[in-house]
Amino acid sequence: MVCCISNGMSTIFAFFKVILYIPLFNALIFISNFMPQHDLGLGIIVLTVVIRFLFFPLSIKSQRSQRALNAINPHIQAIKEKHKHDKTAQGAAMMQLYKEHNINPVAGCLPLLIQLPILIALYQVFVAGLNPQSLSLLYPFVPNPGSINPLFLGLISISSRNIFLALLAGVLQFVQAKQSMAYMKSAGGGSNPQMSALNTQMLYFFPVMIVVIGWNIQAGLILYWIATTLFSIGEQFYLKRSK
Amino acid sequence: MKEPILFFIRFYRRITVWFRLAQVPGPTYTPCRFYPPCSEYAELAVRKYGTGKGSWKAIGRIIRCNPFASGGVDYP
Repeated sequence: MVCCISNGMSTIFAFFKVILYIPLFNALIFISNFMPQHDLGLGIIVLTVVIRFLFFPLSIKSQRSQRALNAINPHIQAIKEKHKHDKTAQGAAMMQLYKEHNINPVAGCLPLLIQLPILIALYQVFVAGLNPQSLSLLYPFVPNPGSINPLFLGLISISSRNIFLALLAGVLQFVQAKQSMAYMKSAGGGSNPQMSALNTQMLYFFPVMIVVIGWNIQAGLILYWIATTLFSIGEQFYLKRSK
Repeated sequence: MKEPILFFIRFYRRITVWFRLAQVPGPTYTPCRFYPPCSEYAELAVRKYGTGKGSWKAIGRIIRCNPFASGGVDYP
């Protein structure tokens, strides 16, 4: 039994490696090859931006749906209260409400879950990219750079910790979250005092947490975090403009 | 066994609000297609059917909650 489970697990890990980890690693080295001095840090940033662009249409739709859902939250609470003991009536009223406000979230919860292995593979790749031994995983058509350049912009070693980058990630996260909160509230419905108190706490807590974590991990991962947050900030501008 | 799972679900529901706002660390955060949302469904299912069967039902619901689902009302 135990051996079967461990066999099954190793099959899953092998599958994961072939289908996510190795392609992402190859993409990272492929991109880095085009960067000046084969700069792996720039490679991480470009790969992040490419991935975010792939998810851009979905991300925009999701944020719009989320905003619409937040806006009708007071109505949802009211319906819940009104039909406390009658689930059928509650459901029907809810569907009516969704229809009236034209709410039809595109993707659902499964894609959210599917992202998780992608994210884990990406993090592993950003760490493994710094290990010259992993170059043996390259596909035949990806030129082997011979060695890996961990000096981002010739200045910052992304294989060690970097306090400046960690602080920058925290600050950017704060800016992004403030923007995002303003966007979500701009449709109204932010009248839930308990919710906004929680969010205000988190607004300060989360960036601090990122700085603390960032302080203790390789700067390559923080570069990912900075790039993805900057992309989100750009997305917020897009959302605001195309209302 | 029921309480830790229910705690986890509630914790997820609190924290996901924030991750959805911050849009990190994943590339996108897609909202649920059903009513009640999957996290609420999971809580109801565990309360109704217990930890084992309830959790299975919740997992089934998450799998159903995909781009090809029709959405709508779906109670455990």
